[in-house]
Amino acid sequence: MSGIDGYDFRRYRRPAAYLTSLAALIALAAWQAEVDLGMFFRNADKGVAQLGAHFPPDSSVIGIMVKESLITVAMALLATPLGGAISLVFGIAAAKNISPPFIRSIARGLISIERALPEIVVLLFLIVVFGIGYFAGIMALAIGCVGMLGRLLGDAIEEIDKKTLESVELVGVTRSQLVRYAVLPEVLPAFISNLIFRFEVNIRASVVLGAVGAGGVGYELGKAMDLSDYQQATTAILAIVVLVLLSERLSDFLRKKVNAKSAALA
Amino acid sequence: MPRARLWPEEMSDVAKVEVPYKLPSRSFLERFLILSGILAATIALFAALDVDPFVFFTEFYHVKRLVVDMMPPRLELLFQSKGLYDSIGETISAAFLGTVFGGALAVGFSFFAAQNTAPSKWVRSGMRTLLSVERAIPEFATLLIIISVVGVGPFTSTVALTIASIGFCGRLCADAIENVDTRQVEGLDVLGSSRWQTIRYAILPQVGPSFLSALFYMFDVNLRRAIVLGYFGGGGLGFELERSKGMLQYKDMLAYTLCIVALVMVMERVSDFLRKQILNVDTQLK
Amino acid sequence: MIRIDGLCKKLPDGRSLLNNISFSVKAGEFVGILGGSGAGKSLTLRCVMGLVQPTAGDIIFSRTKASGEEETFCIQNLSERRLREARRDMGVIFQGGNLVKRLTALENVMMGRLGHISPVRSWLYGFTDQEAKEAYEVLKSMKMEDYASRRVGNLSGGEQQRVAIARAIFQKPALYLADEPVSSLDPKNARKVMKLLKPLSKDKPVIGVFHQPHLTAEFCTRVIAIKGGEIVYDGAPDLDAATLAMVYEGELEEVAREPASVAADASSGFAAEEVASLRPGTITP
Repeated sequence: MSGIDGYDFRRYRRPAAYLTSLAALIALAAWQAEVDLGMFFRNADKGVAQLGAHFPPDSSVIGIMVKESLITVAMALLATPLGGAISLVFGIAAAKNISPPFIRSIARGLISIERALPEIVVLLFLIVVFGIGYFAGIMALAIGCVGMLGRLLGDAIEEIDKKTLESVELVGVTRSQLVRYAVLPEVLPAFISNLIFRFEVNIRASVVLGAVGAGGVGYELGKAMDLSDYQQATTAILAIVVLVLLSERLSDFLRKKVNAKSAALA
Repeated sequence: MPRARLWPEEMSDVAKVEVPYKLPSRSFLERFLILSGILAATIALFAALDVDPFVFFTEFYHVKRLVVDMMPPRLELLFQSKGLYDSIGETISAAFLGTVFGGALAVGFSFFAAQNTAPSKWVRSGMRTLLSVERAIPEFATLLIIISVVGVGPFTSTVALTIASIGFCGRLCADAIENVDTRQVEGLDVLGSSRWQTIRYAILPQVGPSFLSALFYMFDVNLRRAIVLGYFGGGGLGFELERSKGMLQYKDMLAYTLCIVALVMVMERVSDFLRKQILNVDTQLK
Repeated sequence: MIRIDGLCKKLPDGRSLLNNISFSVKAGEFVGILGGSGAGKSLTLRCVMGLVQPTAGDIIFSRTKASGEEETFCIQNLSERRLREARRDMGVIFQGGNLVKRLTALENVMMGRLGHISPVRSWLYGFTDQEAKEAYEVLKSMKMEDYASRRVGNLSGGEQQRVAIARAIFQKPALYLADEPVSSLDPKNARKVMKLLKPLSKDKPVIGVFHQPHLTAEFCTRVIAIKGGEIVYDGAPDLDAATLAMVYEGELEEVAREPASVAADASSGFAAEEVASLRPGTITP
């Protein structure tokens, strides 16, 4: 069926099929997720009242929020290098050109399992073991790094020229020396850049973990919401927004610096 | 080991040679100072948080106990209860709907946040700021606020994820719009097309694939977020996990965790596959 | 001194890549190995380096220890630790150098001595000033001192090759092995590199794989030609036209006209040899 002037309407067949199946999927999901759009109209007044209760922010707790934000930063600061160290081990173990196949497949498996686990799940297990507190949060954040950093590092190491590794090996070095002199110099700048990005991610994550019980500004937010202290909660949210935006800026700035330095011709 | 003579010149006295170049490897002192500085900072941070990192070793026997308590995982859940499949469905649905609705809204907003389609510079920077502030609000805060209006359940998750997707996806889309080939846009501008015609015929065809990739990425992110939100009362797997932990049912907890890992891995594969399929067809049409 | 005795290498499916290769090289000799692509030149060298395990035959490598006594290694059956020890005394120069691109030339040269440094020291401490100065001296002898602090990735092919030679010299080996060191270079740089390799053979054996018969004729003291995994010529470096034609069998024009393309063909070591062996006619069954 060719249209006017050779314009072929069949080209719309596939998009139409996509749109129909998308609509069907949305309907199915809406049924499963108990979507009830009427709720918005029925509870409109309640919603307005709720939002109103959040304002104005409670300025008397600003000091506490700043202090708790610093604790959140401290947690991320401790967790990121720790996570980086763990990822370094996993990344090296996950690269097929320097580690034996058996160890490599174990490391790859653990990394992809970790990648699929939200930090909060890791934290729940750690809370069972170490109790509620900063330590469980730091450990959860550190473990959370492995999935992303370990995989990126493993892939970066696998991209190193095999011939370079071979020629260094032929000097008669041990495996640890090979890692130190042929592998790390090639991958370290990118790894540090990723680590800085991970710091930014960890700040966000530690807010969420805080609400579960790891402490920090996230914990204050959760507590305020639990106690229906909505104005205080708004202050906490504002503190979090400022914290996240600042960490974003800082990480962008630092990463640009690292990249410029590693690209500079020595 | 006695040092052999080097080829080819007579080495009268190597020690006298001046290397016009700083040694690449740091001296032992430098290394020592850097390492001890890092160590001191770490200790100070731990002290400031009043955390004893050695509980990892002193309390390690708890790990053993937990392992004993949660082994084997109660995988019978897979066959016994309909509840498990319901909660998996709820998690996927919330993530999917959040992505679709949030993505649709984000695409709309992104045209105001891209400099080549925004009506004015002020609208653009205002929208950009709005999106990045929105992105900085943790999604569980949104969820907790919505809960007090809508109540606990997957619908709350859906709404929270919709809102949370706007900032994230809006920025990705706006960046994609700003990266379009300007020559095609200029080509239409020369013909005297309106703003909407330019968007329809010069920009949309170019950004389609990037929007699609952004949406699929968003879905992967949202799936994880849906699990997190579940913990705070958004239903689905996260909620089940929280409940089993609250009731100290560690065997259930491990089973749910395994489900989460499997779900995230499988959905990642599925969305990757779909994305490739759709993008492939897209290039074939061109 | 290095002695190779009846070296054979067969693929698992029974095809033979090397067949009964035997020769020995002593100090003062600069041996050039010639042959068409896929003939087994690089493979022979890789067997000597211990990268490829031969199916049969002996590779006997002897060095004089610092204490003056003679030590002999049988490369084909060494433990990993002993193989490392043997490799410390082999200065290997690859095509393109295969250096660590992000490190400076000086660091790459110093790496030659890594085998003599304990792993703990190399992690904590690195190299000493003394070693840096010696490495700088070697670079200077290669006329590369101006590039000492430059990253190797930013150097040209010829410069990288010279850094690689400097690394091998800094290693103070008992034997030099050069796997197509000039193949990726233009004629002028190739001659330069050959001129640097030549004096190494004054007190150490040097074995190189080459693709340019005119260069081996000019610089080497002895030429070994390999064809189809067997030695077909072993003797004076100035091969006559008939022998050359026999060795290369139709590839000669190609070699003479465009050395780089043939070299690129066979540059990737074992893999290339394996691929080449699948072509009809290059291997005698």
